[in-house]
Amino acid sequence: ATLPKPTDGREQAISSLSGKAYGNIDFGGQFSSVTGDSARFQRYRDLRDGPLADNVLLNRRDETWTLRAAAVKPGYRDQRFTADYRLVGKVKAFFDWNQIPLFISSDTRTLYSEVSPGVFRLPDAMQASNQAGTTTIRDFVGSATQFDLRTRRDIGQFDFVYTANRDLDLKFNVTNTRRNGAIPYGASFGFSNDIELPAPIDQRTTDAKASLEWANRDALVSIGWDGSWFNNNVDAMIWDNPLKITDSPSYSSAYSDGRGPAQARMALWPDNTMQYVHGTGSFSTPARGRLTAYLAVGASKQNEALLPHTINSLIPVVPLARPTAEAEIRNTMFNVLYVARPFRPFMVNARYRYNDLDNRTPPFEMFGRVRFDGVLDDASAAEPPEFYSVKRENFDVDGTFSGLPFTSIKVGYGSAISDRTFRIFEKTNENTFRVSADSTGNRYVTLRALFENSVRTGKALDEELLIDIGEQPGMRHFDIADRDRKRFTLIATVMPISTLGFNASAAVAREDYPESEFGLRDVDSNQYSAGVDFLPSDRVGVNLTYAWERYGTLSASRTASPGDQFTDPRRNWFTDYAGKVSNIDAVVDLAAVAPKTDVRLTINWSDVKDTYTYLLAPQTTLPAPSQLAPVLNELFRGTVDVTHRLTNRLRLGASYWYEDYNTEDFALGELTLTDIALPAVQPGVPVVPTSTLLLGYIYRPFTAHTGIVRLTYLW
Amino acid sequence: ASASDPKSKGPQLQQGYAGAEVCVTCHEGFDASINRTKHAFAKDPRTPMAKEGCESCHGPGEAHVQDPTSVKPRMFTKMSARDVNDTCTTCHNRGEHAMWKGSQHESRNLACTTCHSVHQPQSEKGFLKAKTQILLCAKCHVDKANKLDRSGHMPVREGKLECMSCHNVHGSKNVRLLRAGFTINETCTTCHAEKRGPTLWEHAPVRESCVTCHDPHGSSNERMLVAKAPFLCQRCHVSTRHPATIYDKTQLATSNRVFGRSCVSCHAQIHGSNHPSGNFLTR
Repeated sequence: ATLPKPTDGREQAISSLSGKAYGNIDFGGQFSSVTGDSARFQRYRDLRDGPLADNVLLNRRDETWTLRAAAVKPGYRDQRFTADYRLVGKVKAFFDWNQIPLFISSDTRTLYSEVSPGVFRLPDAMQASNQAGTTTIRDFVGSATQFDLRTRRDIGQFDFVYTANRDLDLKFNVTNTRRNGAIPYGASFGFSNDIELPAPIDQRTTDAKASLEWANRDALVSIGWDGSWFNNNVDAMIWDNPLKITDSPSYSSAYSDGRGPAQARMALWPDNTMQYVHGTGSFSTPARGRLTAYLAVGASKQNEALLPHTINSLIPVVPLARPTAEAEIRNTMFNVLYVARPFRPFMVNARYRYNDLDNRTPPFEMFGRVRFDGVLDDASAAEPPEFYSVKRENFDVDGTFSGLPFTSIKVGYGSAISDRTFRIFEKTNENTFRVSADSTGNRYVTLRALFENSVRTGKALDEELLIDIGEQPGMRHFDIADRDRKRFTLIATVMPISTLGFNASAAVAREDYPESEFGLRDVDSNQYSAGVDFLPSDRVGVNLTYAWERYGTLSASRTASPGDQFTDPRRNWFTDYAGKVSNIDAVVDLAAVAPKTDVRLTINWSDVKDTYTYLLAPQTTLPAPSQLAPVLNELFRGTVDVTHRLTNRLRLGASYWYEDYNTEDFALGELTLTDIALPAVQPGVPVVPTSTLLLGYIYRPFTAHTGIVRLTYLW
Repeated sequence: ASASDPKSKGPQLQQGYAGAEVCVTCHEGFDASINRTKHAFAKDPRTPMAKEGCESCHGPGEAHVQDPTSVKPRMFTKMSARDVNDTCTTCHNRGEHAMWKGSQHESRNLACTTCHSVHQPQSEKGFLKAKTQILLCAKCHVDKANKLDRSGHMPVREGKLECMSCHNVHGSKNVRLLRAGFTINETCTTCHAEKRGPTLWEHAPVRESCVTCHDPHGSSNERMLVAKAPFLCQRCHVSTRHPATIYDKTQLATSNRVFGRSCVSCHAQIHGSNHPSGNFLTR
């Protein structure tokens, strides 16, 4: 048996501990042309025109140490730098700086000015004239200013491992993530009011980990500590009401018309911390077994100062039970896993997991509340917060028989028990039976099949909780409701000859919620794929995969006011969701298609159609609904990459990307969100007053062409 | 033996072993391929080259040298998954790999060599048999890979995250081979720490599991929701007044329940509120 030998000096350097530096540097440029939604085109990328160093890599290795340093797109918003140093057998040090941009919209505009972080003001004249009724929001939208809506994460990570001896490692990691920018956020004054603001993001998360790990062939022991601190530099958001310049005292419909306060205040994400200590022990046991146990004990805490109930100056001050949140969840995690092979073709695998999220936040007495800064409710209407706790226990046992050539058959059982507070089912128990067969290792055929049947039942149902909040007593929250789930998956690969392979997969799943009169009633999921890999020579490789997926759900509801309507089944209606997805992925690699020239072609197409259809009950008393249009999302991406070797050390590369995104969305599309004040004025349509002031963030298509040229020098 | 000089016998060469210099006389190119890897560092006592070189993994080769036709060393392409894994986990039994035994992938008869090739890797790191993690994982999880093409997705296809950013495919303490923490939420909040809470007012299903409402692999809906609002919210909220209303085409231009952000236009603090009057998650 032989492997290809390195073809050039650089390759030889990589495969020897030569003491020489080697790597590559490239330089070129990127150029894009986009029509349509340029923000979505650059969602997590920075494709601005300009010079480009796509990949700069420096390596140096010796018998006792290595260094690898890399820079990707320095100077761009999605730049990344890494450095990896190893003192062989002693120290590993790794640094990573990764910037992830999120370009949300360049269509956004607003009438608000952010006068200080989190404080958004409107012109007083606008508020005054809108309050007087001489103008509406719509009269001012022409003066809204455009801004780019984006965020960026800067993630800095440092990993350090000191190897004290052959068995003992001391590990340390610190990761610091800074996130800046703004995201579209709801900032309503009432249920008939729709205000959108660029909520400020100015956050930092610092994570630190330290552990000591001792391991040899037969055992492992480790102890460690993990800590995480989240800090939000903007604790609250305050914004003007476009409909009011002065506060109003509390009145009952202010929660709906949005005309109560002159301004509002919202608590943004609170600072919080999480810390754990943990330990792991893992030991070889008789019968070729291994016993592994893990224990962690920790707490998440949040003690942010609480805002007053309202910023509305004409609503009396409602006392707070305490000045800070004093929120705390204690977490205990225990995990034990036993694997054994009592005789060669049989393996048994048992796992027990225990996770207790114990909410220790002290009760918070409510002396009243203020809805939407406009409506004061007295203490009798203000229910106190419910501090949610959940305890989970999972037990799984599997037996695997692998006595047949290349094949294993597994039979398993799992039990998942959850015990929680403040939900309609305080206890749920899910029993799962599964069987799988996996035939691998045969060069001609690989088969993987799995069938799983799960039954979840709830206990201690409290329908009173539903009735208290005006919910239908037959409604079940689908995440904890009784559920029967069946799932089957099959993956097959056939390689009749070494240069040709076919693959196919099928995944079919069905969920039924038999006790849910209302809410989610069933879920269907069908996924199929077929593909071919063809490698007729070292110079040609072709891969083609086509996948199609079908999804369906049915949920039930009842339009009803309190009284007779509440129990009238003729007011029932249903949402029948159907999702259809098609995907094509194709890759063609042509090495040396021309002298010293390699070419790679890729095609990637994704087409999604989601349809939500309203259905009515027999003898319905509801008006026939006008169905919403399907939601369409289609992305086509084709790329061509050409590399020409000018010399052993110099390569010329060029890439062309074509991307075409089409979308139609009844809620977020440009046909619906035609203006930042809705409904927009249309010729021939009577003008309707508006209390809407959006940002103009919409889903719209784009077509883009991107070209990249680069000259790469290898040393 | 040193990988830079595989033709020298190592100090720990035992009876029955031939030495790397003998192996490469026939198996050309394998010395270069192993030298590209960390396996080659003889000064690291945890590497094969610090022990018996090629034979650390492939077994004692002296008998094979004497009778190459009928005596074969360990050939990973022809071994059972169980035997392959036993060989690799002789050394790879700590850190990332500490939970491999009994993991989902091990118990489905996957071998280390199903995904990795020490001698002919296609990837820049991790000895993968495909150029990227997505391409590798898509061999079995094609539905997850396809979801990355949806309009709402995490920056995986842009190369800023990888499958392994969230999953430890070698085994984990968490469910679904998630890398961090002990619950789905703890993995999500490693990046989305602002939603970690705890807050004064909780939305119980949020505390229960992020994937009740979000599909982390991608979706066509805003913020990777598993269904479009208001239909997602109406799966649980069937109370009187506005939650249980049909929001149809006739209301598209006028109702904030259906256009734009839908329910979260008002219930913006859907993940939990720390405002004392935040019980409806509006402040």
